[in-house]
Amino acid sequence: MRVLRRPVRDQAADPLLERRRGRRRMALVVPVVAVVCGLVVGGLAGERVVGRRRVAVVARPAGAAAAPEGASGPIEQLRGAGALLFTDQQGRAYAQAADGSGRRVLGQLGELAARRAAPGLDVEVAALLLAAAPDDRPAELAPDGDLVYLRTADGAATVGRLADGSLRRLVPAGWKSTGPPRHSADGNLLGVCGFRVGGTPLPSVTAARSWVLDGSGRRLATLPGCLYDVAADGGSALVADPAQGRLAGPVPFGQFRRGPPVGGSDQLTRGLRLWRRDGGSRPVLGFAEVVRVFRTVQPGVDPHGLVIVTAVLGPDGRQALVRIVDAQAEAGSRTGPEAEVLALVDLERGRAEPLPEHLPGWFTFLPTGGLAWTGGGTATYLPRGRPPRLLRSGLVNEGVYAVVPSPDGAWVLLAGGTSWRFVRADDPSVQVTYPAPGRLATWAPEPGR
Amino acid sequence: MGRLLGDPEVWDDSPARPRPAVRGLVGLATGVVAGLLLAFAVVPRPDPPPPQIRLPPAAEAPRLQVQRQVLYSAGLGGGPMLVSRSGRLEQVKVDGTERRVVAQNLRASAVVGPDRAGVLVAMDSGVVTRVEANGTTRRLGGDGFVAGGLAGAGRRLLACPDPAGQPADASLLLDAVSGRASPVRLGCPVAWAAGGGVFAGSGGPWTRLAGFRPATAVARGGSVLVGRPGRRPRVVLDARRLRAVAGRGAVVDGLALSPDGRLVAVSAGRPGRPWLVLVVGTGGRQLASIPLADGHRPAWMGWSDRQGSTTLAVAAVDRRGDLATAELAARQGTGYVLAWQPTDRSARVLTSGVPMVAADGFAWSSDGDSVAVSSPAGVLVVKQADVVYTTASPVTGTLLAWPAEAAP
Repeated sequence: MRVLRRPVRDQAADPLLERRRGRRRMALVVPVVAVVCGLVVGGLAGERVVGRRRVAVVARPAGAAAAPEGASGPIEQLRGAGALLFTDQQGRAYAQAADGSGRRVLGQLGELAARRAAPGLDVEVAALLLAAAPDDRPAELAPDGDLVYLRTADGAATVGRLADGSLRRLVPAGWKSTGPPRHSADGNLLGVCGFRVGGTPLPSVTAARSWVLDGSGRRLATLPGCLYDVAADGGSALVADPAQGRLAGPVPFGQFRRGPPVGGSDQLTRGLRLWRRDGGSRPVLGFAEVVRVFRTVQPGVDPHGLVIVTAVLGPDGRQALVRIVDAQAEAGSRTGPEAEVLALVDLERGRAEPLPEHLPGWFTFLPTGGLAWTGGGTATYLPRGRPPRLLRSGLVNEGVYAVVPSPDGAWVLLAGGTSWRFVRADDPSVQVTYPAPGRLATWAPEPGR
Repeated sequence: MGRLLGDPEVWDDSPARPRPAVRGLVGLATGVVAGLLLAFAVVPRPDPPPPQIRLPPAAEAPRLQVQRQVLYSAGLGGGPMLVSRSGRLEQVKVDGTERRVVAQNLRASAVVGPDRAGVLVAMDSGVVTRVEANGTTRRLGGDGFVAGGLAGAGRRLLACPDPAGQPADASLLLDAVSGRASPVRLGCPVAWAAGGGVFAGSGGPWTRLAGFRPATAVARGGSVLVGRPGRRPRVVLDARRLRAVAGRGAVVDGLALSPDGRLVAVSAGRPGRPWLVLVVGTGGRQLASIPLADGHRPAWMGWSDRQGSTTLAVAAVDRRGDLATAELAARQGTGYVLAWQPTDRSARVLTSGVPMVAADGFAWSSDGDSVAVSSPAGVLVVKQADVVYTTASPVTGTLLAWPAEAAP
């Protein structure tokens, strides 16, 4: 049976229905009030939910790749710290994020394969008194992952391209270079130090010359003496000052600690000048200052043997880190007296300040202006205007061949043969380590940064 | 309700029940949902928050490693170290074992001894005190004498005056056993040859200079004298020569006598100018001039005594700017220790950088093979054989001396 309901008729006159009318009014008013109250309550609750600021806690960001096998430390902190470019034994070049993720092959170049000039060659030893690299990286890769700066097996500074495998030799025939070309940050200014070795019975550097080129390989200048570094902005280069060489006279026969005896030479570097792309140059480190700073670690040194072998420009171009060696130090000086010193040179004042360290190793400037170096089994970071900090001790067995800062200067990478150790410069207690995926070439900013 | 075929339709004329409570609840729910939707639609979203990185548990900062083998080797050649710690004078072996309190309530800044009987003499806040093996103490030098420096060997002592309120050259030669004192015209700094009865001190002209202590000028001498007990000291480096070598206005800030008393190391310079260390024979002949890094001043100098040969160690610390007058233990600056050999006049850096931050104590081991540098971070031991070996030591405190024999 279906029950139908008629529309309610007006029953106002019915006194029995007065009470129900009140209930009906309530049934009308109560829902309206309830809806309004609900709107207010729901709105307030929604506002609190939507407007609340969530705290983003990043333990391992979603989508981040898993840490490399064997990694230790808070590797997620390396996310966004740039890209590491490196090579392997077969000459392949790779790039990966600093946290080890996103590895990709950039290309291959036969000259990048792990081969070096035969050690112990007298030629190489003689050239060590002319120039020595601030670290032992075999090659540098440009941030674009295509250009390669290297020294070929036959001793020529060369720029290669991974994309097409091409090589452009930067020193003229008959000349060798002391290392890979130095370059500006954008690669538009290149500098090469070249040398010739001759002499009997002991080999010696008979000629040293440098070439400054633009990015296309066009020669901008040919300079006497060795070129050591090119400013990041491409506006200047740090080169030997021949005037100081004449002042100091030739370096006599010597037996530097790294190898067999070498003959005397008047081509080695006794002082530095800053060559400017817009014309001219000015002296920045005189031989007298070289002698003065060396005597702080070796008071009785014979000045005739002092030569500059490494010079690296600071990020602002106002300072340089310089390695000075005593070419006449005895062969056993590894265990004996100081035979070399690192010095921080104020290029405006021409004043050098020693960084006293027994057996100084590799060194670098940080983009923030601080310094980091190895020596005596330790790695030290010296921030500007603050006391030094220990980055690592017990380096002797880690085979560290380069100290490289991150593009923002927050990290320092101690690149070793078997492992890479990343140390936070402002808090060395934060360290990340993972197995070395290859031989480090460059720590570049991430594309777009 | 189901309907059967043929069921008639029946009209129910009774009005529907109003149910205000039910309608109210439904209305409230509808309102809440509508309010939520409205809020989601119109309320502006806040800016994305900066991510907070969840750091791993605090890791320990890198420290110099303890090389057990080096520590053991260094421990063989020297007795226990004498350290000042928490207001006590203590002795402890280099590996941190066998710590013993030598004297309570003694904040020693310099120590001579101990001798075979375990007796030593210490300087605490200007008071020269003899400390017996059982820890009892006796003041030396009279009540009115305030010492600024102390040197000596065996029972013979030389205490120089703190120049505040006393003549700068009113030093006392003291006998540690009898307590007898005799005046000698020398001022601070003073030194005593470990193996011979030779002492050295500073002489006039006296200059009061700022830059050594906070907010006060300190008298410093401009010449160096050498003497023996019972004899009048003689000048080995006069003011004219000192200034010719170390610059105009140079003063003497530190002295060290080689064990045989034949060589004097003089730290000379002036605050704000370069400092150097001159090595002069007691006959007056200059053997070496060791320039220091810019702004660095020697905090300690000491000669080793290694089987007849000797080495001078110069511990130079950065004194530029605000570091000039900072207390050693509070000094946040770098420094280095240079070892110089008089035989071939060669040098090498024994340590530098981090271990020299806030370095507050220094000593040669009694066998002359190792130097130790203390700081609030710990003690560093450098053993110099053919190769320089470095190790951290578990010893804590301010290092005062590293003598051969312990007090019994």
